[in-house]
Amino acid sequence: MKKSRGSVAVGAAGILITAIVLASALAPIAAPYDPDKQDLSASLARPSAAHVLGTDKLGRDLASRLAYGGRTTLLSALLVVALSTAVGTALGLAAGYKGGTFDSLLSRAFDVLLAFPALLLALVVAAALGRGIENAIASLSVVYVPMITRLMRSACLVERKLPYVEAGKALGYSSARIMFRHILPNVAPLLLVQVAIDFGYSILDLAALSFLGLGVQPPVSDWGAMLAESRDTLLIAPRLALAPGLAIMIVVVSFNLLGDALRERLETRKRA
Amino acid sequence: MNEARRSTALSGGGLLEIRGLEVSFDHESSRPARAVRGIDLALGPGESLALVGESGSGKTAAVKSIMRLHDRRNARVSGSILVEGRDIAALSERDMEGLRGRVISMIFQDPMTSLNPVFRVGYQVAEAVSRARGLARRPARAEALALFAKAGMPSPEILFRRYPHEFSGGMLQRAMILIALAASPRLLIADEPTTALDVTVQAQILQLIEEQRRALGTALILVTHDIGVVAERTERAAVMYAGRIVEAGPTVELLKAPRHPYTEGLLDSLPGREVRGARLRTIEGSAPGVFEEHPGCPFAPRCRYVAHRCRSEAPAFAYLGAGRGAACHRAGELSLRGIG
Repeated sequence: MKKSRGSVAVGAAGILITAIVLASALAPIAAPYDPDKQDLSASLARPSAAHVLGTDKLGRDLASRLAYGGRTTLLSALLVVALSTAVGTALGLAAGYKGGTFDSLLSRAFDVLLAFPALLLALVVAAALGRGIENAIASLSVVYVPMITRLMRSACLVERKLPYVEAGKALGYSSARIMFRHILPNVAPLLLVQVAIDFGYSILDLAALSFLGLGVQPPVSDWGAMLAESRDTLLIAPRLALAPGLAIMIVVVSFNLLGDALRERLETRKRA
Repeated sequence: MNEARRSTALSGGGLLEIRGLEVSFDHESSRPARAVRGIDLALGPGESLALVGESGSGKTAAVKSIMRLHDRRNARVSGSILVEGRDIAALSERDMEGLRGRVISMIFQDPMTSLNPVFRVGYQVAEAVSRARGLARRPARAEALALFAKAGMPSPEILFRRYPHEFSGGMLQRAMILIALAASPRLLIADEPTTALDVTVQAQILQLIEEQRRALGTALILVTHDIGVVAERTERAAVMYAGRIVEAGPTVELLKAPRHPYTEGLLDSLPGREVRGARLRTIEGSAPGVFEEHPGCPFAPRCRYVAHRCRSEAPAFAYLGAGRGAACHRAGELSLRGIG
């Protein structure tokens, strides 16, 4: 019973993610309008056949903006996750496998970083680097590294004690080979769960940075910036806020669901 | 004296020379666990030596230090270990990596966990072959497959593509042997290679090790708790007790006429020699732990020949002639029962 309910939710999450990713990826073909084309005569038009979700204050087609904004948002989040995962995995495996001073220093430093809320830290870094989507991506990547590092470190500490690692060492395999060719594939499922969850969160954090004006700069837009723009007309046309807000929520919740489902699967497999 | 001690630790050496090896492990909440308490060993090229002792006697800790496999974070290793004349304590980690697998190789107790669970067995054998002989992927694969066939694996092509969990323990241990010997090392350390396996495949595995190592001219250290296993398979044997070597000598003579009461006890407790229906013999008491200190002979509390001085004075390992030696005050006067 519980299982079937869970898998329905996961299936729905998968379909929603696929739909949103497809819409964003195909935006240049699928979107009916240029997202930046203003038409002041159609300012704040209600949803109609011409504009499925209506238009914003400047008469830009909301559906098109949502699709193009999704491109920016999803691509940025992908970059954040890719960068932080690459760096965090390397650091975590090295810390777990090598141990010693390197591990102690890294762990203490990251403990300090983890003590601050991620978004606050990202704000500080982004503010120091300056406005712009590149800097927002860089700052979030930095902020996401400690979590991945800690996860990989603890996973590596467990693997390191397994006989296959010692056997590899006894065969003269180098530390790098053992860490990346032998241990990494064994901890990859764990990493995958974290990546799925991080992807959701990085969309949320990116949107927050953009909302605060530290992320994308006009004319480029993403869901966070769209939310920010919608504030002026919140009472007249709440759909301008609802559309990007819902998009963010759906993607974040879906990725969380996927991550949880993955974890559950892995745990049952491990227990079996 | 020193000279005598070295020669009882057998042969002139040349390949491996261990002197005064001590290994202890730091513990946060207690004093260090002293697993190995000063052993000497020597091994020549192509020789075979059995290292026999109960669990906890320090066998594994001793052989692991030959490959420098101990975790530097909590293991303290002292004494000298020379491999082909080179002091391995002085080698860089990179040089050590070059030594492992190529000069010294090791087979572990449990084959089911000694292979990486996420890769096919064939891939892992090919990986070892590729590294050992500097071959590219395809030729390494072909070579690995040929090794599979040579090791008597039934339908090697099928087994080659299976994962470790789809193998039987015996088959996996065969694969481990191939991996360990891929680089034709000078020395193979087999740490309880058949303990985790069915008794029925035990002989086959030992046979395979023997065949393969003879073909390559590889020396062997066979670590085992089962003194019955070593009988016809090694030239020399060393018996360990509480972190020390208590007796060493040519295997046949050592089994026939042990010179240390502990060796006699081990032989005595082998099944098959008791009167039908009688209880199996055991050595009374239990081996001292790694935390215990003993002023006298560590075996004294369990020894049926114990004398006064055994409890106060630790016996040194003494040369007894004919390549034999024992660490027992009464080694010269006792006549002990062996087998065969």
